[in-house]
Formats: sequence, C-alpha cells, structure tokens
Amino acid sequence: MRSKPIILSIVLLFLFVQHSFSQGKSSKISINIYGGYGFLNASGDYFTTTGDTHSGANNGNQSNSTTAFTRTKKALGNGAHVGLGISYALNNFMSIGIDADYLTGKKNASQNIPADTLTGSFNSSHSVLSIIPNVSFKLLNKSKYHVYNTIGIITAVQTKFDYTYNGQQAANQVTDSYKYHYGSNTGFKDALGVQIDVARNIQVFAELSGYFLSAKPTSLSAVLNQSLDGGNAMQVVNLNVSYKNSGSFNYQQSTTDGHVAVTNASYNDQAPTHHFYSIGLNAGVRINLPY
Amino acid sequence: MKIKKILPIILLGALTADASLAQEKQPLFYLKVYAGDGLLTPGADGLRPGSVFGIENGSTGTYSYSKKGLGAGFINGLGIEKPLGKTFSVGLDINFLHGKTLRSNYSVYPPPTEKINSISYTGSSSYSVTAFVPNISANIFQKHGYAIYTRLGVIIATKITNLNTERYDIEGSGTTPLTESLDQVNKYDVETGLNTAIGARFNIYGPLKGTVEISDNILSVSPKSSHQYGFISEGYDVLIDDNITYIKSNSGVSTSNSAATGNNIGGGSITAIDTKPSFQQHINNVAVTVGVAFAIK
Repeated sequence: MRSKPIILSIVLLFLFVQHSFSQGKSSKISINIYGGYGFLNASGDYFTTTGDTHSGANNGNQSNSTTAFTRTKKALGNGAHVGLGISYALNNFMSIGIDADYLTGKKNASQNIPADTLTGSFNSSHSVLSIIPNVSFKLLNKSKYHVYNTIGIITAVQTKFDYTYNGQQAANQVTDSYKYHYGSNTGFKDALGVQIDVARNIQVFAELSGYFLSAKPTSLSAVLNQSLDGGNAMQVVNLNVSYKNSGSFNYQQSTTDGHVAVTNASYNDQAPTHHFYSIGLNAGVRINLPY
Repeated sequence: MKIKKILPIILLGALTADASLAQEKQPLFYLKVYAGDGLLTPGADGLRPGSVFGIENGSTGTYSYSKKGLGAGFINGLGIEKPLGKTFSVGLDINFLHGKTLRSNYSVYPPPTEKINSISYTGSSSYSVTAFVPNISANIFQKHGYAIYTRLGVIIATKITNLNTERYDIEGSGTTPLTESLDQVNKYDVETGLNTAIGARFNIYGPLKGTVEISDNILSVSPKSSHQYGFISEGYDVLIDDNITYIKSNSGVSTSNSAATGNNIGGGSITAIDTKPSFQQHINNVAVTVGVAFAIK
C-alpha cells in the first residue's frame, strides 16, 4: 500500500526533528503536508443539456415554444487537494513558502429530460498540479496557537480536463468526448487558518481555503459520434480546435461518406476560460526543521 | 502607461513619509478615498460573438476578440476604517468600477460556390459595478512611518450595468445586404464576491496618510433578466423587442412567446417574452489603487 512508506517517512522525520531540536536550535524553515476538499461551488463551470424545442400552437402571427434543460449541480474545481510545502520565517509575523498542490475531481451526473425521452450521462474528470508560492501573515499570536492568513499565486503546471456525454433519444444515440490541452495558467489562493502546537516543533493546522484558478486551454480534441436509426447510419466528427485570441479562422474540413460518414475539421477560435473555483477545508501537519 | 503615472505618486508618498506612525496612538477611525485601475483580468469573461456564421470548408477570414475581460477599467472609491487595536481594523468601502468597453470583431468570406460573399461581426460590451465592501484588515508589519496590511472583504455589488451590442452585416452577390443589429441590457439582483488585498499605509503629513494597494477581486454574477432590442434590415426593417427572464434552478423549461406584425414587404416588428437558463459572468480583476486616508482622532 502506498501510504505505508509515507507514514514511515513521517515517523522518521518526526524522530529526526525531535532529536535535532534537543540541542536547543531555533528554526526558520518548516515543511508541511496537507489534505483537504473543495466542496463549495464558488462559481465554477457546469454543464447544461438541452432537449428538443417543441413548438406550440401557432395562431396567425403568434408563436410559442418550450425547451427543457438540465445541468450538473457540481462545478469544475470541486474535489480533493493534497499537497506539501516548505516555508521560511522572515520574522515573527511573516513567512514565505512554496507548496506543491494536487487537485483531483470527478463529476458524474445523469441528464434526463423526460419530456423528450432524452436520457444521458455526463462524466468529467479534472486534475491540476500546481506550484503555489505564498506568503503567510500571523494575524493573532497566542502561546499555543496562532491565526494566520496565507495568500498564494497558483501556477498550474499540469492541468487536465476531459468529459464525455452519452445521450439517447429513441433510436438515436450520441457519444461525445472532449479533451482539453493546457499550458501554464495562474490563479489565486487565499486561506484563513489556525495553527496549533501539538509537540515541540510540530504543529497541526486547519484552514478555510479559497482556490481560484482560471485556465485557458491551448487546444481541444473532440470526437463526436452519432448513431442514427438504431445504427443504420453513423456519423463521426473529429474536431481539432487551436485557441488563439486573434488571427485567421483557418477552417479546414474533409468528409468521407459511406455507412459511417467521417468528418475531420480543424480551425482556430478564441479560448474559453475554465473556472476551477472552490472553497473548502484543508488540514495538515507542519514540522520545524533544525535550520 | 498607467503604471508610470502611479509610480511617481507612490514614490512621492514614500519620500514624504515621516517617522511618527509607529509611535502614534491609533486614531478613532480613518476616512479614505482611492483610485486605480483593474490592470489584469484573470478568469474574467471576454467578449465573443453569439454565433460565427459562414464557417465551412473553403472559408477564409480573420477575427480579433477582446484581450481583456470584464473587470478591466478605472476604479475609484471611498471608505471608512475603524482600528480595533494595533493589529486589526474593520472597514466599509464603496467601490466604483467603470468598466473599460470590450470590443470584438470577425470577418468571414465563404467559398465562391456560396451566394454569400462576406459576413462581418462587430460587438462591444460596456459595464459598471457599484459595490459595498465590508472588510477586515490586519497590520502585518509596522515600522517608523509606514505599515503593511492585508485585507479580506466581501464584495456586495448593489448596482451592475451591462450593455452588449452586436451587429452582423451579410453581403451576397445579387442580393440585398442583410444587417442585424441587437443591443442587450442585462439586469441583476445583488451579487456577492471576494476581495483580498495587500497594501501599505504611510504618513504624508500630520493626520494625512497615503495608501497603495494591490487587490484581487472575484465577482461572479448571473443576470436575472435581459432586454434585447434592435432590428433586422434586408431592404425593409423588422424591429425586435425581446424581454428575457433567466431561470436560476438546475433544471427547468425554457419558453418563448412571440408575436409578429407587418410583412416581408413593408417591414414590421417581432415582440417576444422568453425564459432561458441562467448563465454566469465573471467580473474579475487584479487592481492597483493609490489613495489618501485622513486619521480622525
């Protein structure tokens, strides 16, 4: 099991720290490990499915229509965080540090529109590996604990977001898969927490943490499959989109007809912004090193 | 560049700072005014067209969409701050964001086999936000003549304006040019967001202090309704007037009810009342502001 070497390492580090500090050294450097969960949707992105448009009775120049819709309840950014970091105390009030943070989340949602007998499912997964340089300030300092505020710049070095949508209506079925590709993106983290001394040179902390990463993808690869009339006709669209803020559309398309009609299309477009936003709780342990 | 205008003010403030702040008794409260600019707009929504028409195999064309997002623009405000001791203080700011108008455009030229020669789009989005920001600040570093602080606040946006315009011009060979011009005014309830800042306050003269701040503002809003109006012209004008109410629940049924008058020869009008799923707009910025604070003893 993976956790065994981690636990062993922590115990060894604990013993090392206790031994080193037995000689009365003061410490400016500390390391921390933490875990947590971003559970509040702070305006992250969600996914909406719409059904067919039903036209009502048209009376002369009057017309009306209805369209049912449903969308996922949880948004991009919800998920578990694990991380580790190192910090350096500049003085009694302020320290600077750098964390490596890993966010991972999955969303599964059924998408049913009974009026259209449209049933479907939306499955997405996302993860962000980020480096977060940060600065912490002690807001309230007591003998056994202190309250702090940490402000960090999220530098996402590896971002993944892909989703699939499977939908069925009568004898027609769609299976779409989307995979976004990202470069480096930056965001903002702010945490308000409390750190408590539990042993000499060892503290535990818990914090309310806001994680706000807005990521613009560099490209999109999508495969859109459509099976019509119980499989009597198939359509496949392979889509490649390069994201640029300005330039030429450079639209190119080739189509192969047959029982399976295959269309390959590529073009340039403006990048969407994906909001990995959440507010959650983190908790962890901090160990002072003898340096 | 705006930062060049701000820097001399900061330097002037720093040079005139005296060494009395650390020894001063905390004032009863501060009154302050400030101004600055939303220089960066991370995660904010840009302006893109509702539709890109005419893209097909063999099309050529160019586009240029807004580089900055909602949140860019001039900022000013005023506030009051009450010190609660040497470290903490609570305050209330009234903040005005005068949004910089976003602009986007594209041109598409379909292949010669099509009857349409060109399709062009120009769009703009102008906006403003008036917000109350109750906040709590903590001095994290105090020296002779200046103090560095962090602030955490809740943005309570009480007045948001947003006007979006879009115009499409379609020209074909042997056909009358078609123009569609639509304006959309979005209306909002009170919306909330997050404000964090790090700043410095330094003495200028007596009770007069200077402030400089870098703040991060995250405000996500969802219109409650829109009014869309304009015309479609193809040798004759058809006026469009559409009132849209947004459904904020996770599922529901959109409705559209419209009535048309006139005909294809003499023009006419289309009046509609719609309900649609709600959508989000992200008004974010990283702002730099400078100001003055007056200490009331």
